[in-house]
Amino acid sequence: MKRRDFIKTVAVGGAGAALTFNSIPMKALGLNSVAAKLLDPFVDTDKVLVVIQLLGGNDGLNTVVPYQDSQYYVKRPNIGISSSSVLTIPNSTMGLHPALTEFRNLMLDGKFAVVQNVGYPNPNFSHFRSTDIWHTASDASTILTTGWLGRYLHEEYPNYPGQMPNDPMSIQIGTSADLSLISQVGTMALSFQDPNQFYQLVQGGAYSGYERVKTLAGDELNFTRKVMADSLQYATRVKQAADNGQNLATYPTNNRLADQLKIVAKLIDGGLQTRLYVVTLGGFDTHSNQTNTHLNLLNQLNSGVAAFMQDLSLNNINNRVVGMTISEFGRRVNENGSSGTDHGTAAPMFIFGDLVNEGVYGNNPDLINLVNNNLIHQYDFRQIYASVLKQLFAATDDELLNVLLQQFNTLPLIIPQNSMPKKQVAGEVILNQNFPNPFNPSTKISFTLKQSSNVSLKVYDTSGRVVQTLADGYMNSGTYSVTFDVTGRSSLSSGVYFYKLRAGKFQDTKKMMVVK
Amino acid sequence: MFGAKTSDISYVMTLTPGEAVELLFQNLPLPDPPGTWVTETPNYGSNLNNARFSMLRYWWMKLMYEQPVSFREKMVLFWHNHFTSEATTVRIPQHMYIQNTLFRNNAFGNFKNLTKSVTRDPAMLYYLDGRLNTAGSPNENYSRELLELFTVGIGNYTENDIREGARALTGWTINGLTSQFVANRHDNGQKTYLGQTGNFDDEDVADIIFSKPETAVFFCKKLYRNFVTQKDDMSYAMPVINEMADILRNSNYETMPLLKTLFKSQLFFSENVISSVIKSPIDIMISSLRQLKISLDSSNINTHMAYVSSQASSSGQLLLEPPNVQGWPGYREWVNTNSLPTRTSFLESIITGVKKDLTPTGFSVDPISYAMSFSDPNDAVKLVNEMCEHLIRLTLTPKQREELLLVLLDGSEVYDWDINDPQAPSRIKKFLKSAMYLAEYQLV
Repeated sequence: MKRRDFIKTVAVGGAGAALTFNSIPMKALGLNSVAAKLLDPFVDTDKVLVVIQLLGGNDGLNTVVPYQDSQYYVKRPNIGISSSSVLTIPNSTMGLHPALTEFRNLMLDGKFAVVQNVGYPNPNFSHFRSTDIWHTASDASTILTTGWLGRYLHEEYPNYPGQMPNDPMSIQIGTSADLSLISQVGTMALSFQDPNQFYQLVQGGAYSGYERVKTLAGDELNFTRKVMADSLQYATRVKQAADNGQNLATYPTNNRLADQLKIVAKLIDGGLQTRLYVVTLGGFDTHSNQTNTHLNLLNQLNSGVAAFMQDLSLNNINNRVVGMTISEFGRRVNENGSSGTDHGTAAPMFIFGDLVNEGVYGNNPDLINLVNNNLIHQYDFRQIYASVLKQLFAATDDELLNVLLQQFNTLPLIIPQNSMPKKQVAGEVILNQNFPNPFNPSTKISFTLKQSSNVSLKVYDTSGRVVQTLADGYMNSGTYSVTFDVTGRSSLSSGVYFYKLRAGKFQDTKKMMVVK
Repeated sequence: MFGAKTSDISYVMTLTPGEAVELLFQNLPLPDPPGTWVTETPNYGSNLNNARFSMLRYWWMKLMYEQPVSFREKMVLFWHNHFTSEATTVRIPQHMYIQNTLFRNNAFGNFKNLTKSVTRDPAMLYYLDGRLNTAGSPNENYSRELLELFTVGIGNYTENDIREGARALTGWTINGLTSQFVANRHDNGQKTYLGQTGNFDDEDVADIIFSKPETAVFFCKKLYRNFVTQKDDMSYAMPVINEMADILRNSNYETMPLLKTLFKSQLFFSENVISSVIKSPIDIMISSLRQLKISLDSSNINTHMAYVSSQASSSGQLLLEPPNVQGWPGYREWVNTNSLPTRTSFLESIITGVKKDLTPTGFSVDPISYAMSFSDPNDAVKLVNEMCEHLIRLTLTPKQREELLLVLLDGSEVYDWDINDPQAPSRIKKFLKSAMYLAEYQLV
């Protein structure tokens, strides 16, 4: 059974008798962890992916430099990075652009991976088409209207927007939300430039919902209302997280990327359960006099990422976050007549973070066997997407197929994480399995708080409705036991329920079963 | 145009639909330039350049705000978003002024001729590197975007056409305020371009492009998306777009006959497509000022326009600075969780006169004067219906109008409504806020 069909079946049967213990298909029971993840509208992972978009087409050959290849200097006599200035990469004959000092340090610390020659078959040289291809993870010849991150989030939050997760599913820092974050049900992204301004803006904004007009205008009205609902829903949460979180590193000033990463670090530290962030640095379309422009851009990238990584470490959240750079294409191998480079094809991608398996993946670029002076790609960018989703978020093969629409071989870029990793990482709180389980009519749920904090313990049904609040308020450290009793509650049918504990920044969810 | 004043509407109602359309295309004189600096010799190092870009921006916004019944400034913005240039890259405000004037002079002009002019436009020669495109060392930047974004569209050319086109376009450079052709920088060799071979130059390139039927189709799709409806899948609209393309080709790429036909067509007013375009930030902000008859003190006009521009910019549209060579994508990308609250908080600020940071805007609606421009401001029901009709192109449902009436009455009875009541101004403001906070107001 396909996963989405499974949800539908459960959703339809959930209210009636179909979900009695005996009639739950064994197959579904066998899928317990998957089912829990699917049915819980507040899917838990504490891992975070930060996508850094380098808009305009970053010149890969001047970023990760084949300085030992004489062809490089033949083809780039004016703008080639001199071999004396490149930063050497351990165990590699490639070098880094001299601006990337901190990237080299991250490599030495084992927190940085380079994947060489990433592209796709039949490359497109248009900024816009190629950006769309990267965002939608489509073949060059296929036009898709949903993005890879949007489809992934739709797998994880199949009930959105009917049920809104507590925290935004993804955040794009900026004035827009990209195609990559659009799913079958619309955009999955919250976008804003600054958490506090965003909160201010949304205050007092009411938006009435009226019935839909059955015209094209009606579609736009529904779309607009959904966006406003998202703003209203999340502005407070984002501000809380921004107020709770802290930046412990010093970020460079006059650096547009650093400004964005600074916000991301603060929100993660502040406990926002958002798993995807998209930030952007533009200006990489270096057709003319590129040397200084490119240097300046890579400086921003280098110092912005360095401050971000330092911030994560100081805040002790470095084992949760992975960053990845993408750019729509690399640039032509031969420089042009204006000391710049025209649109090209394959280029390196960077993956960084404490969970990364460091190293340089792939062969050095082949500067001889070219197609119209352009590199031939070695890895499909969707292999990198597949690797990140599988290893960081424990996406299953089924999910990957739904997200990327084809099977792609992965590269071991990230130390594989479990699907519910929070249980292993957190130490502040322990939520125990209820006992007895299955139960009728009552069961006990116990948990331990190592620190005093604001606590809520709620029981949800499979469609995410709160069935009962068992605890809500400030509690001192200690071990507690509460009872959940279904006596006299005829509306609660037999079947699966979830209980979710939130204590400060921590949350955990477990499943239990009522048998009537 | 950017929003109609009630006086515009009363006037247009006296005309036939045909006369009204003619009025939109009336021949207006060119405005005075934003300053004498527009004729100064460009200076890339001048620290006045940034301030002048702002002057130019506010000057243009003022034209939009003050325009009579005319479609001209809408088309200037359309061309700015079609033949894009970014001020940050161009760096010389004089050049951006010259380009802006080129668009105004050709607002309803000939697409083919305008393409030829844009190819030699100094701002464009700077923006897409045409000035660096020389014999022996071609730069493909303009050649690519000319085909991909400005004329035939993706799928109708090869990478080789881009390379060969770049060779044909060589030789043009910037000299002060104008462009010039430097013969020894031009590649005089044979080029094969879109299936034809010859010693082509930039005019030949345009002639060849405009001999392709796809050019008119591509352009009409863009017009359709801008002015009719923006749905992603355009296949349903292809019969109309092909019809538009025929009109454009038959008039040898004159845009005025096409635009007039479009605005007189039944399609334009049909129930299915009406009001399905999401307003751009500039559109919603300038048109709300015009609709509410807000008068901006001319001695402070630049301060006021700076506020409007900052809000449009926070919503994703800073004039003269499109995000990239494709221009603002528009459509649903105008509306996201950041821009939508920014847009609505701007609307609130021009009603209350207070910005989000609690500082005064320096201007706001005169609610009584606004209400008095309707037929019977003492009849609350009539007033609500007429204000709704004026502000929002979609017909609101009876339930919506009923709720808005309750907002206006603010607890009083309908027979108690009196425009001279001391509470009337604040009640009209509450009504305006509610009406302009409707999702319907976000649509053109």
